[in-house]
Amino acid sequence: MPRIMTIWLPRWPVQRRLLEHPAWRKVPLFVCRRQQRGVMTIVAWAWALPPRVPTDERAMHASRHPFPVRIPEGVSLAEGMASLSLAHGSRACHIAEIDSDDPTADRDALEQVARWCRRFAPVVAVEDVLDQKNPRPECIHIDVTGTAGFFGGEGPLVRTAVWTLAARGIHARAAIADTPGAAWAAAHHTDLLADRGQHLGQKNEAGGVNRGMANALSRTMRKSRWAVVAPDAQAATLGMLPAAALRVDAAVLSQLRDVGIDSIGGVLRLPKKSVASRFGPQLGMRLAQYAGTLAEPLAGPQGEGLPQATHAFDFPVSAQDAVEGVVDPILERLVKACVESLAAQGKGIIAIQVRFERSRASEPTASCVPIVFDIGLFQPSASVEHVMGLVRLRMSRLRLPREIEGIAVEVGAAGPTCCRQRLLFGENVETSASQVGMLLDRLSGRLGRTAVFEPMPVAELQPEYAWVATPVARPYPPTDTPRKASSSHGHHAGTHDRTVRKDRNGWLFISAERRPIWMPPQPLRLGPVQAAMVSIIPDGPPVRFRLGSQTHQVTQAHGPERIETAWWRGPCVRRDYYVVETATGARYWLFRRLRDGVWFLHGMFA
Amino acid sequence: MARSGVASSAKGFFLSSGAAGASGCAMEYAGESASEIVSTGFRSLDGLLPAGGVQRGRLLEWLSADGLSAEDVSNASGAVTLAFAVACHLAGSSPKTVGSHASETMLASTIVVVDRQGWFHPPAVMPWLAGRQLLVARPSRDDDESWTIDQCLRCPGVAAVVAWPKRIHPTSLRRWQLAARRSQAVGMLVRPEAARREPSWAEARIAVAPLPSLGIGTRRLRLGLAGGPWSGDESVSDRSVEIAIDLVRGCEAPCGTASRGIGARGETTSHRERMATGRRRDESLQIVQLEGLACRAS
Repeated sequence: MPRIMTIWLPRWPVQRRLLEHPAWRKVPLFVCRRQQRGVMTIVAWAWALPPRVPTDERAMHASRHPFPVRIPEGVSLAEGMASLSLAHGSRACHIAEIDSDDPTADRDALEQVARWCRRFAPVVAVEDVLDQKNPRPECIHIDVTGTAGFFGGEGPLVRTAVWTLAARGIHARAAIADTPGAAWAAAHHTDLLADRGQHLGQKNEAGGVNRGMANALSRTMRKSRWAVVAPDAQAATLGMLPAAALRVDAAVLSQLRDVGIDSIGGVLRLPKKSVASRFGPQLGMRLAQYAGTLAEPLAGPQGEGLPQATHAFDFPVSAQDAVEGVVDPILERLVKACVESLAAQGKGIIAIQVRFERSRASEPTASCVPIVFDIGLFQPSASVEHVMGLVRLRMSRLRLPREIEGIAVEVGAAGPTCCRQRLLFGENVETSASQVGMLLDRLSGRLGRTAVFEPMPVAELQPEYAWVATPVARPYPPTDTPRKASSSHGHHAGTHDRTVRKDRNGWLFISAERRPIWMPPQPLRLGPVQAAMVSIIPDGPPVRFRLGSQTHQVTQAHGPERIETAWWRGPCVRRDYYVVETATGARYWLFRRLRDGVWFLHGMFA
Repeated sequence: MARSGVASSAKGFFLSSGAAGASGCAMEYAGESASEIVSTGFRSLDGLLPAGGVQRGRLLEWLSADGLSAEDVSNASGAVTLAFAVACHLAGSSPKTVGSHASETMLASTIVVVDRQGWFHPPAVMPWLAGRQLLVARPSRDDDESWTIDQCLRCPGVAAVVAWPKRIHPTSLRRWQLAARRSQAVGMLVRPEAARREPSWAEARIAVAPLPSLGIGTRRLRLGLAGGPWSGDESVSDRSVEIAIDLVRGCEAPCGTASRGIGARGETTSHRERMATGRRRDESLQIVQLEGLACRAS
């Protein structure tokens, strides 16, 4: 009996955009499609990090407390905005990002994820969507027949799949069942199955659903994002799932509801001969696929022409002793083979995956999961030396297994290399960009992608959120523009309105002289024990303060610059900032918290 | 205004010629490749540096007066601000020459900030970065920090690297110097005053001390040479100048107080006088050069 794992990536169009623009996690994001007569309909939407209301203010603002918004797909953008405004206030609509639908890019990105999932099993496919007018796949099918043992069983395999995707910033749910249809149904309703698995676990230890987790706590089960349907147990376990889990159209669902059928079990109890005549051929086909009587071939992702090269050793070699002598030359040969086959098409490598197959003989007890690492480049590269440099960089920090049986190098993504004739005279700007791109590859390879970034200003007056770190995980130089200062989370009050300026592009800049170049992640409290803060007039600037063992006499103070944030953004911030200069000329940025008058050091003009 | 300067170096005698405020070229006779001289954007600072500006492919150390370490919260001398202002000016100046051929020029407009502590606050300098690229790297370990600075200094597409490492091993400093010389990037290292006693491979060490300012928009600093390859030359050591930084634009503030210099023995020398002296030296050097060319041609 084959075993299929289905990974569902909910709201994939939104997730893809959030992966490309991490700053959009803080704002509502609508992916819309323009219909006839100019009406914008919502394809998907999400607000990854909605503002949290502080517990102490919930009672105060109970009437304005935001509640979960449910905006179904297909409604117009105006309706969606109205619902959002009702729940979170009109400010949420002002800061919302609206992006146009791009099914091709969504599918390409999903296929990238599918290729990445080959680490679990070799046969991987993107789901087949019957609706040709609106093909919007969100699932990946993986044939895990016989491969689950390498991961310690089906339970660990499905957990590994979910959590490794989560580590890459992708929210996923996964399930393993006998057929793609059953796995699809289980993956979309893991929460229902978790509840049922709990009951099964109490009654029957050999229950088919979440067998390994049957004894887990109820809370854990409810939040479960995976499910394992035991072989030949899908009829008993999946029968209570809603009929929509059969992947049928809304029209068929409506017909089923008219006759009082709302679950898979109810559909299965219908006479099979009359299903096609009463509800159309689609339901019959889906039922057959669900039961496994009709085969559902798994078609691999497009772009299979990407090169890959493998090397299998005649006998296991000790990787720890033979990295430089054996592994490195083989890796270089494999990378060179991939690069040359792409270079013939005028392409270069964007993403590459290197896989070391463990030897089961040397580590019989350990799970024989191959050592896999991915390398992403900021621009297509056809340089073997550059790619090998990145591979060596990763390997220097990798703990290789004791013995390896083979090495595989697979190109995950490729793009056209930009070749331009060099100028005889004048500047060679492209060379500069390519050099910086290679530098970013090296830095990201060792420090991590999030440790190398480009700061981007955002329309935010609270200093902690006045900029965002945009990972340079895209072709260099960057092509997208940062968000403009069309709106602001907070509002700016006080006597220094001219400190806020906008440049020609509409960006919001605070005057640079009022912002320190060093700012600790958290303001340092100048408490009465640690430091003495004296202010001769009420709510005035400080006269002296103590920092560490030194007492600083303030000779000049500029301010206050009052910064307040709105209630829906979380903990309310009300501060009076002062730029103070001491007798020695040192310059600091202090603020007084208006709530209790406590002074803080928030920056140094270093 | 043509300008050139002569300075005797611990490594050898080198000759520089070029235009003030723009870029020039220094030819070192110690067996090293030629490097351009670019103005720092601060006339007083240009006058303080023996080459008349910043030589591409060199390291500069800025010694912060009141900071015991980079993590000290009392470090508010303005050294980082000045280093960044100079880096912005370097990134916005003329293309640099990379390689042995003069035609291999490159518009390096990228500034890399290596921020080990995670304290760098970009909004303070973003308005200064018109058309320039700012990248921030946050290594989590000391060896990663050293490696990151080394890699950034090796990249020809980088104009300047600004970093405030906590500890610097002399070997690392030498490695950075060679890396910068190869790529013509400029390394700006902000270090505490206590590092004055440590050996250094930097081309210049400038002590930065804050001065009381006249307003919030400007920052007055006193700069002094605190060593470097020419530290044996008594005529230039212990000189100090005052500058004023326009914090809004990241350049020299248009005030007259910035062009005053205080000599080593107490006498005050104005920037204009030093420029005149340098110009006389330039003219004599140009005459020598022309005579040499005439002899070679004949």
